Amino acid sequence: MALLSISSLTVEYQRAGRTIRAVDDVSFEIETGTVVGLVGESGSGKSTLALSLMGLLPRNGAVTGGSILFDGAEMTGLDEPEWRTVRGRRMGMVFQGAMNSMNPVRRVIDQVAEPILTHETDMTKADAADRAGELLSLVGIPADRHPAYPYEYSGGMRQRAGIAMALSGRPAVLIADEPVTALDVIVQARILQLLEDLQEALDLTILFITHDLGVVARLCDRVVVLYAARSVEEGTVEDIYDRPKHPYTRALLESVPNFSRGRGKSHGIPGAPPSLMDPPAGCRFHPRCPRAMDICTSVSPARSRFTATQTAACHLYEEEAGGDG
Amino acid sequence: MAERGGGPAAPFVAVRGLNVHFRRSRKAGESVRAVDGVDLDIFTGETLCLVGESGSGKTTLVRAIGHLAPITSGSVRLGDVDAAQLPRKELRSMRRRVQYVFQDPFESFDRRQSIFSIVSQPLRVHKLASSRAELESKVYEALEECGLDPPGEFAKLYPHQLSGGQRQRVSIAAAVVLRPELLIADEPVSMLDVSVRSDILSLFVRLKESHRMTLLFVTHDLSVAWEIADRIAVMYLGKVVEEGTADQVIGRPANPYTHALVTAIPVPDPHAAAPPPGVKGDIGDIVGIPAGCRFHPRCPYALDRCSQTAPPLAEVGEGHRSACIRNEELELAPPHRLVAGTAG
Ligand SMILES: Nc1ncnc2c1ncn2[C@@H]1O[C@H](COP(=O)(O)OP(=O)(O)OP(=O)(O)O)[C@@H](O)[C@H]1O
Ligand SMILES: Nc1ncnc2c1ncn2[C@@H]1O[C@H](COP(=O)(O)OP(=O)(O)OP(=O)(O)O)[C@@H](O)[C@H]1O
Ligand code: SF4
Ligand SMILES: [Mg+2]
Ligand SMILES: [Mg+2]
Repeated sequence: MALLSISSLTVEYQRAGRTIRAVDDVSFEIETGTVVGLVGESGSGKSTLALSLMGLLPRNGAVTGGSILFDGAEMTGLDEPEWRTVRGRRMGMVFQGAMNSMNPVRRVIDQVAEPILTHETDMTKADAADRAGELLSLVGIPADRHPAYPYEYSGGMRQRAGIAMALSGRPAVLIADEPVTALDVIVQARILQLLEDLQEALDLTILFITHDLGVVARLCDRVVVLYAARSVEEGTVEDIYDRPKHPYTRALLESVPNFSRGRGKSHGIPGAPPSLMDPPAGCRFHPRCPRAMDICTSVSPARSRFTATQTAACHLYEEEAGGDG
Repeated sequence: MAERGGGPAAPFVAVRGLNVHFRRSRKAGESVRAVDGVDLDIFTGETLCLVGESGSGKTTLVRAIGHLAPITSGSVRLGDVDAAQLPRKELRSMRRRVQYVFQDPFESFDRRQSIFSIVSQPLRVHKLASSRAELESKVYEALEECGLDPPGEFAKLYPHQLSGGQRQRVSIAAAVVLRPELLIADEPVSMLDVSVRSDILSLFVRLKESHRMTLLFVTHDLSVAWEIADRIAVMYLGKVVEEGTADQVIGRPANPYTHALVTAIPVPDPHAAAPPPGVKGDIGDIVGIPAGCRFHPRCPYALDRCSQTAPPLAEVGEGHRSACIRNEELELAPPHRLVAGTAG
């Protein structure tokens, strides 16, 4: 059974008297022990979706539709005290930009120990510090560096500390929002390896958010592709990379340099991702889509299922829904 | 590259023994050796990509090449001139031959300036248009060739009315409007959405070819370098550690650092093998510059002597150089199966 089941989730922000629908009718499931990648360009709603799963939307944002089932229990509509029992203990999050968001004047080990003390009220300070030390060692930070201050850490070490903090409540699900984006590739590869190792050792379930298709191919079992707040395609990594269906997914894959395709072979998608203040009617990708038809400009495409694992929302496939392998 | 033919062409940019050191604090003797003994040739009409991790000295090196940063010692020749020897007046005209495009298209403009005013400014500064009509035609031509078409419409807009990719096209137009011989681009696509990056990359290649410019392109992203470079130079802690054609450096890296860097690139292919765990630590963990080979504390192949002798950049193949004491004996496995093809 799916550990996390998101159906028709809709999240809206209010800003300057207007409504921005940052997550629009998105559904997907995450099975226990798997890694699901959420990909999309800047502003497509990835962080908003992650924050809604943690009950951490800012004040001007709210879940306005759909449901989030965690281990069978409904999460939407929880109040703050109820969220606190979920957050950290059942779901941990590595925040986008976490490496820059640590408290600069507190020692790293104390910052990792803090959530442990709040979650496990029967723990002594010394026990919490021991556990924080274990976690920091687990993510590869040597013991003599545990008492240091964040500014004494490199970016990669701060990102590891952020992962240690997210794991401090022994969560079943780890939500990682662009955890390697600002890092150099060598450090990035080691953090990805670390997440893979942790995933195996702790049987973690991971929702991994990124715009980097290389990272997704490396780490994930399944992929959800977001475009302008909507899920346009979903499948296993093989489905998405070997037989992408949605024109956006195809164009996105063609836009990134790929060693196995030859140099100078990538080409971008014309135009730019739309603003969610004023999204295009019909299929949101139609202004940039090489295969757009009349219907695409006015009618939102329904989801077509191709196989047990792959679906996409595009008018090209509506006739043959159910067919095609 | 192709234009270079067989004979050794004279480089357009010749960097020799270049040092750029910064004082970190008032304490005597403590300095950051951001560029530390670099020799580098960039040939007329080629695209040279400078790659390396954050803090390796890429920006400092290209600023020194464009004479935007003070040089501690060594020389940078552009064409037949050594800018350090030039009188002030000529330095100005030399500066026109070199133009920059920077990383952040959002911050590089004054929001109150129209696109016309941004792109025409360099022409006005260098007094390169004798009439309004000439100014307009040069600006429109630059906008059009940078894909901002119709130019008359774009010229009237302001930066906030453009997407990130369009803003970067404006900064490219403002650089090429002067018809520079050398275009230096420092991480020009790293802030852009992935779906618009590759069109900006091919714009650079196209402009370089149509105007016979030389392109010096800085990126931390090796897959970007592989996409557009004729040659690649890899920097590590202020030094160039490997240099060669794109196929040599990425397909058959000779230096253990480059090998680690290339191996670590996540490729958009779920069937690609996971990279073997190799290099330890990260560049930021290194306090000060290690003696001997600067990479030795992290290098999986380091021997005792690596901490004693600094290896020079030495030939390992035709046009392919690597700075490693074990150049002769190491056989590094090719990290990726590349599909051959040409950029552009
Ligand atoms: N606090 C907020 N108030 C109003 N609008 C917001 C807020 N946070 C985000 N948005 C808007 O919601 C949309 C989705 O933003 P979100 O941060 O979820 O995107 P993202 O996919 O995570 O982007 P990125 O890749 O840049 O991190 C954007 O249009 C953004 O401007
Ligand atoms: N003006 C300066 N004063 C002092 N130190 C400096 C100065 N400029 C750069 N440095 C230092 O020189 C080194 C090289 O910096 P540089 O910006 O050239 O690296 P880079 O390779 O461009 O990095 P990035 O990929 O992060 O842009 C760094 O250690 C940096 O902190
Ligand atoms: S629905 Fe139409 S516009 Fe949208 S992706 Fe499919 S073909 Fe293109
Ligand atoms: Mg985000
Ligand atoms: Mg730089």
